Amino acid sequence: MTTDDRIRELARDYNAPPRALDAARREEIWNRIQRERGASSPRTAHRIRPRHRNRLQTIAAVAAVLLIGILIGRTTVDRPDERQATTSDHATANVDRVTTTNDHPVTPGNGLGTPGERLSADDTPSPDATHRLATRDYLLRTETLLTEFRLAAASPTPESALPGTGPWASSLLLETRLLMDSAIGENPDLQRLLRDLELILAEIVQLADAADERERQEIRRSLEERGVLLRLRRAVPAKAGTRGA
Amino acid sequence: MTLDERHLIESARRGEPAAERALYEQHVGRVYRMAHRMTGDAALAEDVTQDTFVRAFGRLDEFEFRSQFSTWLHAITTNVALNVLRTHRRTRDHEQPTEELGRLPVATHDGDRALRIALHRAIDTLNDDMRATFVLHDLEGYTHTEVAEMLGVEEGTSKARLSRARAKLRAVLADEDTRASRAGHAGRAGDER
Repeated sequence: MTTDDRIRELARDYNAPPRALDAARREEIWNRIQRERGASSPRTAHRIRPRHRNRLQTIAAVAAVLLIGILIGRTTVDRPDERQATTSDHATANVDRVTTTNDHPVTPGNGLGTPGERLSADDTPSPDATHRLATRDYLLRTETLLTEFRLAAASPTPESALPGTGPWASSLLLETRLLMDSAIGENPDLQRLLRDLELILAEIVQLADAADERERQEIRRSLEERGVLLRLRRAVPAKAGTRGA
Repeated sequence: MTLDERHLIESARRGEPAAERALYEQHVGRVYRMAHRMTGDAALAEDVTQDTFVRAFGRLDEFEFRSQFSTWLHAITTNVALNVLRTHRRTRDHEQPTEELGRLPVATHDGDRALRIALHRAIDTLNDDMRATFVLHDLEGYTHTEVAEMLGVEEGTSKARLSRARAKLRAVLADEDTRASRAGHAGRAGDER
């Protein structure tokens, strides 16, 4: 017997399952597959074990505080412009009364308002309005990341085109999970979009360590198959990020 | 590939649930075993099995009948398992530094059993690529052509990885043999005194 034969013999039961899957386990896995395929739900969500969830919740809470702080800061800084807008334009409105521009009519239903949506100078931002603005801001940043990722993945030298993607995706992943647990995530369309985003962002975060070309292409394909970018753009009007548009 | 399997795959592509279920039943046992080999954890292996079939059914149109269906399916299993391990390891490393694992005592000094445990630990320490190659080739019996296809590398790369993996394991085996031999000598010397 050669040394390699001996190694094979000693390793024969390496990580071998103690028992084969019984009928009940097979059925259970089959049901999970059907649920996941039927709902097109994220592959990772059910897998987050409680101890991981606790850590995520702590991080998410910190992120939430930061996010709300930034948003309140933004709305405060924007007020002079808003006052100007109220005098010259009929577009001033409470955040719940959205305004429109000619080329971007209101598309009710996603709860995120429209390109012209602004906070009135005299309004104190309600938690709902803050939440919606945060969601819109998040969606815009996610769209930017995914668009850059898709372009970079298609480039001849994707490795050099993707530095820093991991931390960026990681931060967005955190916000995704935060939004999924929030009231705004109760919108079924948005919830579905957030689930897909969670999956794709998680894959991009993993990819940051692996830099595997096949995986990169799989993510790109997953993006296209799920029509994620298209749905993202539908969720956020094209000029949502343009201040005072 | 049998005509029956080809028929099942084509039916599953048309979305026939019975065909999908039949494919699942035919392959789930081996997929789970491979997943367990790669992850060493029953719950993770079930997750990998689930993901493998979700991906496979979602991409059945991409299967071109150029290889065995099982090889194609196991390629997905391997990739999913490696991804799951990367994620899981990151989390686990936060909770238990890897140096701690190396210091755990070997549970037994009983000859082959101790050797087996030492070797299994050595396999655990191989990097993912080497370990996957070793598991697929030496334990699951795939050829280098199949391993290369599964891992998306050249056949030569698969051979090189296996060679490096075996070299590391041979070194571990030699160390363990030396240690066992010294322990044997010490034991006999003690008896003579």
